[in-house]
Amino acid sequence: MSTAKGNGQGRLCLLDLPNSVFAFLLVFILASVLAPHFFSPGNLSTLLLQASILIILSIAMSLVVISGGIDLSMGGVLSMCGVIMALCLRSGMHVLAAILVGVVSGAMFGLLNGLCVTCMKVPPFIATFGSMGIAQSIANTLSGKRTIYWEGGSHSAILDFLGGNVIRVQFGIEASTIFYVPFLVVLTAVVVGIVIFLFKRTVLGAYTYAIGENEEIARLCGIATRTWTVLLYIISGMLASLAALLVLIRTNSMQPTSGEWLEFQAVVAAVLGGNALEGGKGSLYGAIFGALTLYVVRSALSLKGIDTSATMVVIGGVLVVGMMLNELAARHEKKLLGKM
Amino acid sequence: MSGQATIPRKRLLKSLTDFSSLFILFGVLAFFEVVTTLQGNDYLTMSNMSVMINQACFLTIIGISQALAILTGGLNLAIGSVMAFTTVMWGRMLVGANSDVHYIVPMLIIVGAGMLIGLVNGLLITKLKMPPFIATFATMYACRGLAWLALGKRVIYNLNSDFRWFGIGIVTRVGGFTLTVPMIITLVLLVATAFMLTRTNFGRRIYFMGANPVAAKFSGIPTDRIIIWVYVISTGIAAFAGLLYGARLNSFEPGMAVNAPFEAITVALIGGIAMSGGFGNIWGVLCGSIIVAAIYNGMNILSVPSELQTLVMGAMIIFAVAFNQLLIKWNMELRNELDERIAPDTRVHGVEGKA
Amino acid sequence: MTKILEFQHISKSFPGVKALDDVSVDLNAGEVHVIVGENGAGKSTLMKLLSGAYTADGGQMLLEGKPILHNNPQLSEQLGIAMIYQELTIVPELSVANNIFLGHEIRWGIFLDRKSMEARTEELLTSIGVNVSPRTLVKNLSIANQQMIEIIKALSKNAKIIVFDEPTSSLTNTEIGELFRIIAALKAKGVGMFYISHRLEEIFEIGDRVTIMRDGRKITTSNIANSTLDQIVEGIAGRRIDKVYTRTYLEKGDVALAINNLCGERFKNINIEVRAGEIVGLAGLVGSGRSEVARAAYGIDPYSQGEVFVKGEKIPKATPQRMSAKGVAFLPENRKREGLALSLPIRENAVVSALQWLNPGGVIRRHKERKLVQSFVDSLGISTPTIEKLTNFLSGGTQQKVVLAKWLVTQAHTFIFDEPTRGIDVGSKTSIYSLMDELVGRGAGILMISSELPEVLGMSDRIYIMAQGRIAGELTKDEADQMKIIQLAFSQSETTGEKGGAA
Repeated sequence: MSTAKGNGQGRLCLLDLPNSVFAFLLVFILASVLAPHFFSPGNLSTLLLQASILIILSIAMSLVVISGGIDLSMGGVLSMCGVIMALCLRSGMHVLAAILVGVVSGAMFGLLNGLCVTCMKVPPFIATFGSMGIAQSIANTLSGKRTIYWEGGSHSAILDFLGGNVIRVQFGIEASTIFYVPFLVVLTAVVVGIVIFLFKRTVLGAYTYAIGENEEIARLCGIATRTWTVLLYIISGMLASLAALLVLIRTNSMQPTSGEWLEFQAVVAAVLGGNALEGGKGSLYGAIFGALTLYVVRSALSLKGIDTSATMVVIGGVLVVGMMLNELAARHEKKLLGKM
Repeated sequence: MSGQATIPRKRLLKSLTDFSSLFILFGVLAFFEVVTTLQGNDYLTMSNMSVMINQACFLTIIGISQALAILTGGLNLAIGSVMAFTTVMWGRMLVGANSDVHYIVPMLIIVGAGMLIGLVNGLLITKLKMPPFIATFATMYACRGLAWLALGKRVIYNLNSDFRWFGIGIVTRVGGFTLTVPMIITLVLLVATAFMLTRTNFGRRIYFMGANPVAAKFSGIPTDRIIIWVYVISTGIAAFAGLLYGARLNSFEPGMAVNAPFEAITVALIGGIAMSGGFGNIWGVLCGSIIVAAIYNGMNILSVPSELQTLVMGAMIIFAVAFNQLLIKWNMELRNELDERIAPDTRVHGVEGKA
Repeated sequence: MTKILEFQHISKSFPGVKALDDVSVDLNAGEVHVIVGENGAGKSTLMKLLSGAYTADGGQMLLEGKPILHNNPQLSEQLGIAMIYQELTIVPELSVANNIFLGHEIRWGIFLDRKSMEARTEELLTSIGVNVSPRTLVKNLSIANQQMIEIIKALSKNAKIIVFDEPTSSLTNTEIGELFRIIAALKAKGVGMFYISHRLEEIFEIGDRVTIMRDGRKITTSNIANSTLDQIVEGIAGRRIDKVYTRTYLEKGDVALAINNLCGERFKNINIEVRAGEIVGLAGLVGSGRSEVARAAYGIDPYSQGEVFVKGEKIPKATPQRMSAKGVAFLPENRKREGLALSLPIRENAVVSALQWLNPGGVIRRHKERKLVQSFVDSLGISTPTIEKLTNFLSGGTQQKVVLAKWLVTQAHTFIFDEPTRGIDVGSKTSIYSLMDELVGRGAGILMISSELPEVLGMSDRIYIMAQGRIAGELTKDEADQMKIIQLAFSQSETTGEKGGAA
């Protein structure tokens, strides 16, 4: 037993990194070699900005997926919260108040999802699938299916500030040589950092894994599984509303359809990141790299001038290959463990 | 036996709970009848019912496609994309001018192509062990992308009028009720599927596998082969639904039926098919789609804005599934109670202990 | 020696079964009290009363002289009672420290105090001499070490009483040695332990006292030092051997199932032959690879080498489909999970493997099906008012008969029974045995895997004994007795063989 410790850990250490890191590195290198201007400061900055919304969503999705659930309402909630925040801004409400209203509505929807799953015992897929429709419907109704704009002013000054860049370094004349870090990316990093910090440094992470692995065991260990499940859906709803804030700032307006299909992309990112849909396995980092992988593929293809339709096909393929990699890695890991 | 007297009542209850979605249907119909009448509109008229049922036909067909996948414990998200991709690829052969080939040829090609995509789905799920959600999501994306690639922003329109008969043909009018060709097609498909599920070896295996995949494997059931076949059939039906859809609208386009897989999930779940697999009656899908059509129809009559209709559907799904779950549990208990009381003297042994 | 726990005249009934009947057992501090008995003897029920999963119908439990009232899992934990089950209750993706403190984390406000948790874990780990870092993810540990985590989890809650429910079933011999060392360390700390095991030899290595249970009653409690293996075996089996097992021995036919040189992950070079008209027992300790061999031969798990023959015909790569098509049936140990679709009626379960044969055209002949199922329900004595009853509502014994019916309908000629009577009450056991006898009477061959020695001895024509993934020996029914089987079952073991031999 004591000998197993020494050699076993060393070998498994590399495998402990989520597979999506390797997938990410692979597509990143390929893209850098094959696509012109991919590996340029400007493009990388844009990539990060575009990916940030999905990164937040896929983190939220991972939390729910690790606990054995799924949150399909994320996209709808994003649209709904975005519309609510935009309407608040249009009515002249202060930004911070508007954000608060948005986040609270996201949390309320999460609460609704959580209660459906825990108290009504509706399977998560169905509960959140249903509330996806409800949230999207609220977004459409409130906005009248139109994009919402608001007049800038002192009450929304912070938004203009957040829409700007933290750093902007120009290496040359062309746009691709401009390296910039928008505030939005910093904001994403902060949000992601906080979630990961809470996940690692409070009981949140441990309980999420325990509930996903086996809810009965978690309950026997004295964990209030229902409360925690509800909490996870609430967090997911709140993160969706923060993602809505990012959309709002980036486009300086809000379309009621902004969230469409994002929940599925978040599932794909989470799954590519090694989070098993049956729960109990996976990591938040994995999902981040899953989301980045998707955006690297997208960016590289568009730089190559390839049609967005072809991008859909390629992403379907990336998903299949990614899943194959995960399956292979799982088998390999099992073999290593068997030998110990 | 103090409970003897209640047996007939329990039997009645049990047969009622056999079709849990019927309760919902009656509830929905009654609600809209009352509300529309109060507003001075007609709802449950023969002509409106035929409109409703005609709307429900398309939903039923994609619902059957989805229900087959769900019964095995899976899911088919590729339904809508397959409809778009297959019809866009070979739909040109159905345009009015191209009369050199009989319209049945492209129809067969399209359904065949759908079945091939289903084969891909089945292989991804069984051989690569991908969760059905992910596997069919990948094919959904790929097919939609291919459809856009093939046709871009163009539309195939002005279809062969003989072919369009499948989508808009009218068989007969009885009173105010219009019996349409899609109704006949849907009925035939339902009967065929019901026969397949309840009266063939294949159907039995589908249910058994959905109920307990491990036991199915131990019992020598070729589980992989069944899953592959189910996705072949399911996706084939989806492609067929694409044909009907196009026939009705007189056009094929890459963006068609984006929400089809989700509408299909909705009607299957409201119809009492259990998400976990192995439980549900295919006729429930018909019930589920009539419920959905009745709600849409009723809301249109009440002129509820279309944005709000999604809200009602979303709430409906959650409510229906919770309701169905309760009723199924109740149904099983009633069934067991009745079984115990049917013929106590035919028992071979006495009471056997619970181990 | 202080008495820390006492069961006084405990009774517990389930519908149709008296699970515990006036049982009184006590436990001293720093003692390993072994409880032995067949499956269904009441050991687990007794322990579940202690853990608060069940409540007793009669009698009381005294903890350090004070009665435990209204026991429930939370209370039992607070009282310092910990259970270590066969199935692990760990979360593989979490670190050792996180697992040990799951649900009882040390915190600063809402934040985890990882340093203290890791330090405390380290302390606990060293106290029982396990050399693992508290930060290691549990999924990267060996199964034995994962089990240690369970034990440490119990210790972290300052457990005074630990119940081990067959802890060694998935461990290798070295790992068992490790476990025993830890148990000795716990003993020295004054922890009282109940130890349930089917490996009788272990008892002599670690036990202080042994209580024998049978059919819900306590037979005796005695000091290990004054007991012999024979006494214990006799106590477990009672005198029921003669009346429970019915066998008529017949002329054997041709080889029905042959396993040649089969190798897999947990077994090597297995040769087994089952002839028509005989019951072949496959005995051995839990974890010796018996079930694994049968599962591999049936194609459920993969095998790396070797061949499987059915009636002389080589099966190229065994799969359950091919085997069942060739007339081989498999009755799994876990009927609910592996044998039946519980949401379907008896009728559909019974015909599921025979569909192709019953309805060659693919269309179900309902009348024929109903008649056939009814006839099997009658001949097997399946106690049900109707063949439409959902299998979910049947008792364990009846469920086993439905699984058997499933294979009888296929007209299988060879049956692999994995623990045919596990979880079945005594009455139904007898009828399962007579059914097995009837089967061989009609020319079937049976391979029976069992951990119950009396069952193996009472039913088999021939017995293969497995030890550590190999066939350790083969005995005919005349040669076989409990001593010989046990000796063979331990024949290749390094750590416990000596003791087993001496006993």
